[in-house]
Amino acid sequence: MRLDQLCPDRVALRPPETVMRLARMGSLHQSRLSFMRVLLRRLKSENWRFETRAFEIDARGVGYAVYTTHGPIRSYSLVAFAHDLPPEQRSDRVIATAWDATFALFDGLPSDADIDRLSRNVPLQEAGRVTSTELTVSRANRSVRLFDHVVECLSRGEQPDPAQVDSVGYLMRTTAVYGSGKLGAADRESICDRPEFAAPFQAEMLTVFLIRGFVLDLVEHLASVRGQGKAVKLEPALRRRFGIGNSTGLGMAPFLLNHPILLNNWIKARETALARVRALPAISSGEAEAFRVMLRRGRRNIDDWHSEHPLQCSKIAELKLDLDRLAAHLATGALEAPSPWDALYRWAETALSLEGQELLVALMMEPYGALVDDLPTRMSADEHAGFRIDGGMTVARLRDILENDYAWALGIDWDNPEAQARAWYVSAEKLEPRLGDRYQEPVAAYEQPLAPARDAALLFEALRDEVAETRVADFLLRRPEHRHILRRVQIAARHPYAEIRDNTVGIDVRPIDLLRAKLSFFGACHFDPRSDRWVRINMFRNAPFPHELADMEFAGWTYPALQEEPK
Amino acid sequence: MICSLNEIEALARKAARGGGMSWGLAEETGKAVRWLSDNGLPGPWLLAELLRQNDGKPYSDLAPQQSGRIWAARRGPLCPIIAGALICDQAEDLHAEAVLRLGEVAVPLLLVPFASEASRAAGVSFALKWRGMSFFLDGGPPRMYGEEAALLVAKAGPVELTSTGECVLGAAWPSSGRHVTAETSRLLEHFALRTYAPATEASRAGAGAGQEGD
Repeated sequence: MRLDQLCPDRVALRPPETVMRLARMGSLHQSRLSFMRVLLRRLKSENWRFETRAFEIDARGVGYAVYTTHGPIRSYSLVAFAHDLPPEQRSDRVIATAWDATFALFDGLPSDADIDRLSRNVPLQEAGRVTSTELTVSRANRSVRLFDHVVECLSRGEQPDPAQVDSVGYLMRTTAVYGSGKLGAADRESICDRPEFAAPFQAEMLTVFLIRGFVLDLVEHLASVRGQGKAVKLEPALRRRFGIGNSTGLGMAPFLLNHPILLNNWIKARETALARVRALPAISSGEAEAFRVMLRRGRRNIDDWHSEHPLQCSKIAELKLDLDRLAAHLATGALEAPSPWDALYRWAETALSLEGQELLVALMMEPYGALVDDLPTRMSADEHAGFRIDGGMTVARLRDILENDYAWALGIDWDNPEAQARAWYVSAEKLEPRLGDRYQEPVAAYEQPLAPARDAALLFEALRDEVAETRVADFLLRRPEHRHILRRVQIAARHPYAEIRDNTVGIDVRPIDLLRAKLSFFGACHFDPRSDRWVRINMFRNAPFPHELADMEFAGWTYPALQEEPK
Repeated sequence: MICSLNEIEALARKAARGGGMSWGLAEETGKAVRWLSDNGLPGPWLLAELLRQNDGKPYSDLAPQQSGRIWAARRGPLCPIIAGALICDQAEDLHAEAVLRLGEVAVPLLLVPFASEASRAAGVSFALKWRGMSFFLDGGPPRMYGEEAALLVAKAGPVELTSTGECVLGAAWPSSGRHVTAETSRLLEHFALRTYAPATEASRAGAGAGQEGD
C-alpha cells in the first residue's frame, strides 16, 4: 500500500483531549519519526562519508580530535576536546564547570586557527563563546565504572563483561547539547533551509552520533596505550551496545510549553502516521511478519529497560503484561481481520495501559516506511509566522475558543491551593528553570508564563465584563497582562495539538512527563527517572557506527537484534 | 560581543519583563529587537535606552489614550512597544489611505519592526517618519533615508505612519546589529536580573542531575 492509494479521511486523527494529556505524553516511545532515526536514514540514503581528520589524544586521554562527515553538498566536523577531570569535579548538574569531554559541531572543515579558537572556548562551555560557524556546543562525563572496566579489559586483550555493558549502557553521558544560537552559535533560522536540517534537532542528533563514535575510539585508544601490544578492540556487535547517555533535568521541561506550534507539528505528524496505518484495509503477510519481528525485538528492548523509580518500575511491569496480552490477542488472528490495524488499536484503547498503547502506536508504524517517512520534514515550525495576534477577533469569538479548547482548564477549581501549588521560575544562581512551591518559597513574584491552564481561566474571567463585539486589540490595550495567554489561545485555536491539556502548576505535576515526551521524539529509550524532575536516557544504543552505515542493514535499529533466536 | 539572534531575543524579552512589561509585551519586545538586529540596527542598545527612560513608570502613563485622533500618552512620551503592538493588533484597519499620527514617542526606531510587521500583515507599504528620518516598509528589509542624526534619538514627535505607493531607494544601516557592547549587555542584564528568583537550598534540591559517577 502506498501513500497515494490511501484514503486519508478513513480514520480521523485522535483528538487533542485524548493525546495532549501529561500522563500519555509521559508514556510516549520513540518511533520511525524520531529525530535520531530520521538522521541515520538520511546519512545512509545519501551515502554520507566519514573521516577522522585528527586524533591528537595523549596517553592520559587529553587532547583533541576532529571527526568530519561529508554530505552531498556540505561537510560538518565534530571538534572534540578530551580532558583529565579530577573525580571531585565530575558533576552532571548544569551548574558544573568542568567535564571529561567537550564538543562543538563545526559548519565545514575547521582550520588550525578555528581549532585553536575553539580550544580556548569550548572547554569552558557557558563561560566561553563560539560563533555562527559552530552549530552546537556540548559536553559529556564518563560513566567512571564502565569506562575503567572497558579500558582495563581491552588492554588485557579481553572483551568487557556484556552484563556490565548493558547495565550502564554508555561510556559517556552528555549533560547538555546546545544548539540554535546558544553561546553565540548559529541560529537555527540560518541553517533550516538546508535539507539535512529540515527535520528538527538534526544538528544536535548528528553531534551526539559523532560523539558516540569518538568515545568508543577514545576508550580503545586508551586501552591500546595501557596494554601495549596485548590490547584488542571491541567486538563490533558488543560495541554497538554502547549508546551515549544523557541526563536531562528541569531546564528542558518548559521547552514544549514554550514552543506550542513546534509541539503541535510533532504530535500532528505522529497522529497522522497512526491514522494512515489504521486506514489500511488489510495487511500483507510480509507486513504482518515484519510487525511480529519488531514486536519481539520491542519486547527485548523492554526487558532491557531498568529503572529504580517506583512509578517507572510499575509502568514497566504493566507494559510487560501489556505485551503478553498483545501477543495473546495476535494469536487469536487479530491481524487477519478487516481493517486490522484500526481494530487492533481500538482493542488496545481498553485492553492496554498508556505505555502499552503508545508502544503499539510506535510498533505499528515500523513496517510502513513508505507510508510515514515523509512526515518528519513537516515537524519543524516557523514560530515567528504564528506570533502575530489577530487583534480583529471579537471578545465573543475568543470566549467561544476558550469554552471549547480550554474547557479542561476552566473546569479546574483555581481557588483550591493545590491547583497552583507549584510555580515555574528562573533561579538567579544559574539562570535555569526551576519548579518551586508557591506557598513555601518566595518565588511567585518571579513566575514564568508556564501555567497556561490558570492563565486561560484568568483571561476568561477578565472577558466576563467585556462587550461581545469588542475587538481583542482594544481589550489588550487596557489589559496587557493577558497578552501572553491570549496569543497562546489563538495559536491553540489554529493548531489543535499546541496545548498540553493538563495543569502544569498543580500539586501533582511531574516534570519528567514533559521530559519524556520531548526525549521520545528525539528517539531516546530506556527512560530512567531519578526523581520527578530529572531523567537519564540512552541515545543511539544499538545503532551502527559511522563506518558501518553504508554496508549495514539497520532498519529498526533501536530495537535489539534477535540474532540469538533460531530462525 | 557578537551575539546570535536567539540570544538577543531572549535577553531582550527578559530585560523587558524585568523593566516592568507584561510577559506578552516582553515577547513583542524580544521579536522587535531581534528584527532590528537582523536588519543591521542596534536593537539591544535601543532597548536599553527605552528601559532606562521608562523604569518605574506605570503602564497607564506610557500607553496611547483611546480618545483623540493623535495617539498620545497620558504623561510623557509613548512607549514604542505598547504603541507598536497596538499598530500590529489593528493591522486590519490599515488600508491604502491610512494615516496614523502619534505624538511624542520614546526611542521611535523601536516602532519600525512593528510597522514592518503590520505592513506584511495588511499587505500595504508604509512610510514611518519622524524628525526628517523616513523608513520605507513593505514587509521586506527596511529602507531608510533622511537625517541619520534622528535615527537613534531618545524621543521624537510627532511620528507619522502613512501608507505609500512609491518605492523608495534607501540605505541599509551599515553596522552589525548583532554586536552588543559590554555596556549595553550590562544594562539589559541589570533589568533581566529582576526576573530571577534568589536561589534557595530548596530550589537546588532535586533540580537536576546529581553527582553520580556510575
